[in-house]
Amino acid sequence: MKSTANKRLFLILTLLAVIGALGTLIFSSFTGALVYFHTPSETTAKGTELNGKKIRIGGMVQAGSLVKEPGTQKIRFLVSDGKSHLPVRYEGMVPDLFREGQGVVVEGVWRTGQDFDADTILAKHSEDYVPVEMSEQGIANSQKSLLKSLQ
Amino acid sequence: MKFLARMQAPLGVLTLIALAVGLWMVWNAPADFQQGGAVRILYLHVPSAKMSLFCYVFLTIASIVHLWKRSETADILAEAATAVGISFTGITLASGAIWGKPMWGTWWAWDARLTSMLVLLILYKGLMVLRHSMDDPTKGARATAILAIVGAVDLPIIHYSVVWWRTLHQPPSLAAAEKSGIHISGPLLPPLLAMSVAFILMGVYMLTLKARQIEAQRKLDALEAARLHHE
Repeated sequence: MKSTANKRLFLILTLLAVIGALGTLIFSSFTGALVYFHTPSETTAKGTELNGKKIRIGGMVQAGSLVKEPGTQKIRFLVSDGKSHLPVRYEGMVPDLFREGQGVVVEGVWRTGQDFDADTILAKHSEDYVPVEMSEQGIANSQKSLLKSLQ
Repeated sequence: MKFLARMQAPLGVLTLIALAVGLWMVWNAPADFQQGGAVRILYLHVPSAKMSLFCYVFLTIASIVHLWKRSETADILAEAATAVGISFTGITLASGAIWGKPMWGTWWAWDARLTSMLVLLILYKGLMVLRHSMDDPTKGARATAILAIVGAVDLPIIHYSVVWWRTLHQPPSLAAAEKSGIHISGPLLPPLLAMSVAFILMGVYMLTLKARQIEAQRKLDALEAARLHHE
């Protein structure tokens, strides 16, 4: 059996952890800290306010904008929310789902007036699941819902 | 509790049959247009996510009944639901990470959905610790019930996280509340329904088993206490 003092300490620590986790979650839900990424429109609007800060930008990899530098892992593309778009540069491995017309969340330091240098690329997909053999309609629906969740 | 004892064996058999049918359907499910074969993780991930929330809803109701009616049975069911709920929450987080790595490119992201789900895991664990950290089991049960009810605030946050905030996690694929709420097409849908039924049965079976074990344990503890008192 654990001693009473030990038990009490353990209890207090656990309660702190639980209430801390719950409290932080509720607090962040009011401060907007739970918003995972900025849209390109927001980022452009805020501009200098975000300068030098590490941020995430989410959007769609604009169709026709993806350029691969031959012989390297360097890529360039535009991330778009349907209203405005931003140029992004990245070097390294990309997720399997990364492609034109697909959702993406890029992470890096924002420098006003420069291309966004991403150090992480995450793929964001829509909530649509469609068998391969009926994919034409599926792709259309999927892009619609994806754009909605990127606004 | 007598009723649970009679239900246990038939429930176990039903669960096994439902799981076998469900997994057979998952095995034969077509590939997704984007995710290919990896879409099959959905059939484990979504049902266990739903079950981790159902268990907490059940736990909250049992906690209210316990505080209100001082019912021992409600408390036993609450303790059992905590154990079952934490298992499903663990499966949800683990299967999500395994799915996230190849699709999103990361095991984990601090977005609203994933974070609120992690809070649920911490909550379940906290409830288990709180119950056993008090010398008087009656006090422990009451404190646990109060914390469980307070913690229920996490449920709407989890559910609506993908709607209220921009997240890496996509919105629900099955949203009964809205028009055109089903985003899983054709032959990809039936395996999910089958697995959901199987997981509900499995959850009830686990709850039955755990509740009976807790009841037996409490009787043993009472006997032991009486023996020590006698000596």
